[in-house]
Amino acid sequence: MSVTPDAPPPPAAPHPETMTSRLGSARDQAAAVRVEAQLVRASGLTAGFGASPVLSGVDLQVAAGETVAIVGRSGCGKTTLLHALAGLQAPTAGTLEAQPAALMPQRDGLMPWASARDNAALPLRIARVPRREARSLADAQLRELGLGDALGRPVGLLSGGMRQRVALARTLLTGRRLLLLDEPLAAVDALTRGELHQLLLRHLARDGHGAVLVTHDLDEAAFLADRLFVLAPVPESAEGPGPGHAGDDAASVMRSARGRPAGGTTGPGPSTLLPGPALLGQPGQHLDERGGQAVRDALLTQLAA
Amino acid sequence: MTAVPSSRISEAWGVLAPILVIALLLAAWQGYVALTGVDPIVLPAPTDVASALWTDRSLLLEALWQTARVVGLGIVLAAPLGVAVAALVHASPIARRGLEPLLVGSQAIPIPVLAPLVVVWLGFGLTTQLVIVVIVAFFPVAVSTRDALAKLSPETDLVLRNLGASSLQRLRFVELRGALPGVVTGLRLAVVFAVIGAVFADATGSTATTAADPTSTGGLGRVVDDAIPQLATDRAFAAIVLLVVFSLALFWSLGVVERVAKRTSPRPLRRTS
Repeated sequence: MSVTPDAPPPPAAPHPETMTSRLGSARDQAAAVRVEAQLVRASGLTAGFGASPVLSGVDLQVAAGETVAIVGRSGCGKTTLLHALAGLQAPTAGTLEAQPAALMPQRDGLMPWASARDNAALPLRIARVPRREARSLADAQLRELGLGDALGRPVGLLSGGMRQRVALARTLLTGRRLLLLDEPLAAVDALTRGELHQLLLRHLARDGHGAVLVTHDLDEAAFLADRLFVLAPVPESAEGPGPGHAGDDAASVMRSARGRPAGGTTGPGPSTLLPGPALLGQPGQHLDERGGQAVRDALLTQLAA
Repeated sequence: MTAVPSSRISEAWGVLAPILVIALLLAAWQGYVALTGVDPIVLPAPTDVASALWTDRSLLLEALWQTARVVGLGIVLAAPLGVAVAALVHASPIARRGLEPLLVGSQAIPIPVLAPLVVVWLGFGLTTQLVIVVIVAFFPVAVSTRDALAKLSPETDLVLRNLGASSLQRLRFVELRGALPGVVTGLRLAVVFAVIGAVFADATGSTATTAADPTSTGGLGRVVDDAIPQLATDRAFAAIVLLVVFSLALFWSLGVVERVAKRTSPRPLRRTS
């Protein structure tokens, strides 16, 4: 059965680049030795509510140093997948081994009343780093992301693009190696998006980190990812009777009573993860250089299936 | 003649309207008393009340001070209690189930019933008054704070769960500050409740009156209670005027605090879809 991270994992040490003497201790170096190449190993992962899974039979491996992009229609269970990988939602079947993950939710979840600095420092404060130290680490991370002028400003007064940078800083400061990004730039204008793509490219898969990026933007996926996946409905024929089929009615009643489950589905059937078309070249190149129309067509075919 | 911007006109009306309404009511009251010649013991004219305000000013100010002290101390005790109860109920479903009937039930007991009982239990004095004020004042703070805590952004909640924050850490780093506008809203209601509570505390004799302490005058509720058997209805009205003005002043000044608290927290709910 499933090997699932029961409790949310304890926050790890902050990112090495921003470490001060205290955090760059022997303990962290020891932790670095234990670095595993594989950040996610999921097979046959099923998640959702009882006999009405949102996800079914998901296989996914993410290695350190790579970014995996998942594209799919809205409501196909992308958010559920990220929550499962983050340990926020227990799988109902299958196995999942995942390194402690940092989730960057779709809408940033920042505290609008608090400064950029205090928002970015939140993971450190929760990891019991003293306030002064947490703030200086947050400042360093925010400066690196180009927010040096906004450190003390309340996040509620920042633009959408700046808010995403703060959210990215907060995500990076968790010190976790697996980053889970849920449509991070959905609410950002096109110009700002270009700048943020560059930032993400620099940070997502650097030294030992890896990322799972959920997006509906093909260009974004092509620019940032090493590999593409498509989250699409399980074909009817492949959908055998699940183990808990007897409880079908109760489960579907429960599901409608809860409204849309986290990340919910629009259709009745579960989704599964299919390998997308291979990308040419390297991340940092645009869709045209990574396969262009052929990739687009292949994806659209998969999504339409 | 130049055109006056309509916004300026409506702004002026906003200030003038309440003054006009009160002036009209006072004029009607004065006119009624003058025309019918009703006994001032039954209904003193506004001018009689105004003169009572002046002639009894030292008594009234002392009573206002007593009431303000009880209300102030009561709020100082009730606010943290209300926030603590809200935090507990928010953080623990068991606490919510256990405490909710008690909290709501405590508010269903009428103060006129409760106040004499508290006197029986605790005797006359400041403690008794404070207990009554705290019982009525902590509830709006607790309810309003709990609602504000429940309405914090679900995305922030997700981040906190992902970070593995404990309930205490959530409260400390995120939730209490996020719920601050709700706390202030609760306080605005609480001050009005507290003034009513203080008056009832006076009225049931929980103030140390001449019997216990000859120098104590008691609060404004005591003044009303004492004035009526003395047929000094004008003084009773004067005390009521002070109570109303005092409540309004507290309510409005906390309204200003509320606006400031909300200005720095633009919509904790930022749902875009």
